[in-house]
Amino acid sequence: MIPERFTEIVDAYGADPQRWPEAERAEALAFASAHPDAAGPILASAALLDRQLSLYTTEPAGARLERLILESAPRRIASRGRTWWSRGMWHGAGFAAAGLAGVVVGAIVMTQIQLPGGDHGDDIYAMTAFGDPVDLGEQ
Amino acid sequence: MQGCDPDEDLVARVASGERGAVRAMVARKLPRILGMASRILSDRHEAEDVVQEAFIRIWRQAPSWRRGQAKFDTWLHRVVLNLCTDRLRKRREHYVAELPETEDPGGRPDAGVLETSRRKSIEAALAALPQRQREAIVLQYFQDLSNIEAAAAMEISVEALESLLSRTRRRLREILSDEMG
Repeated sequence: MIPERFTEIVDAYGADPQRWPEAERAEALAFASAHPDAAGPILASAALLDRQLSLYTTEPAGARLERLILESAPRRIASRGRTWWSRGMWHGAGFAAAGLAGVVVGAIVMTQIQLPGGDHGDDIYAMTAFGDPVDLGEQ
Repeated sequence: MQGCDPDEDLVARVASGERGAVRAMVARKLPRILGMASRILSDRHEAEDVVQEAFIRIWRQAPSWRRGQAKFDTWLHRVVLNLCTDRLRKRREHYVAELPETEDPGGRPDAGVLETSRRKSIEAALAALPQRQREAIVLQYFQDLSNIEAAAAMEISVEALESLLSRTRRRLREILSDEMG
């Protein structure tokens, strides 16, 4: 590793080798131990800033925040617990209800169609755009 | 990166509705992302809001999480970063040129004054950085992400991250020169 690259790594990632790019870590460490006079001051300067940064701690999460987050998680266990049998049962009941409703509606519709049957008489022509006998006669 | 995601199994268990996994996810990720949001936003209340929103995204995303695509932790950092960016943008719109509040009303004057003062100096120094520089140092230094992970979270190249980090550390040294002697 050339000295410039070692400087770039420490300038960017600090003095702790654990924070250096993994792909270059071994080489950079080898450079530091082979050239302590060159690497020492660079590492010392970076370590100073690292130490300052390490002072910036934050307060841990409070119990209230933790509770709010836990409560925000959906409770899937309940819905998954009735996956195959209860959901299947409800689906079956749904199909049965839909089938029954279809029979009832079908019966009503058929009744309404059948009841006035044969009473249209000549009105049927007045209800269409094609078969108006008056218009035909005038043409 | 693929195939070695330490969070993969936990995400799958969260998706299956295991309450123990939900608690484990909160225990594992809450301290990390709360620290991250606090340092980026310099505002504890806003950070807590961001963290709650991030967990809602986790719960929503877990069932459709696909193994081997991206590291879950990197995805989560990106989510938190985006939520922080939204907050900062709104803050800029409402409080132009106003510096973040750094006073601690609960601080005791005779307890760890020096340490508190130093911590506040670092906090102020970070708050004074341009947003992208602050994000870079928070991800790389405080979140302990590798250069590849931090670059992925910021959606920039590793080279761009490295350059950003160099500028950030140089700037921090300038700001903190008095503290560092």
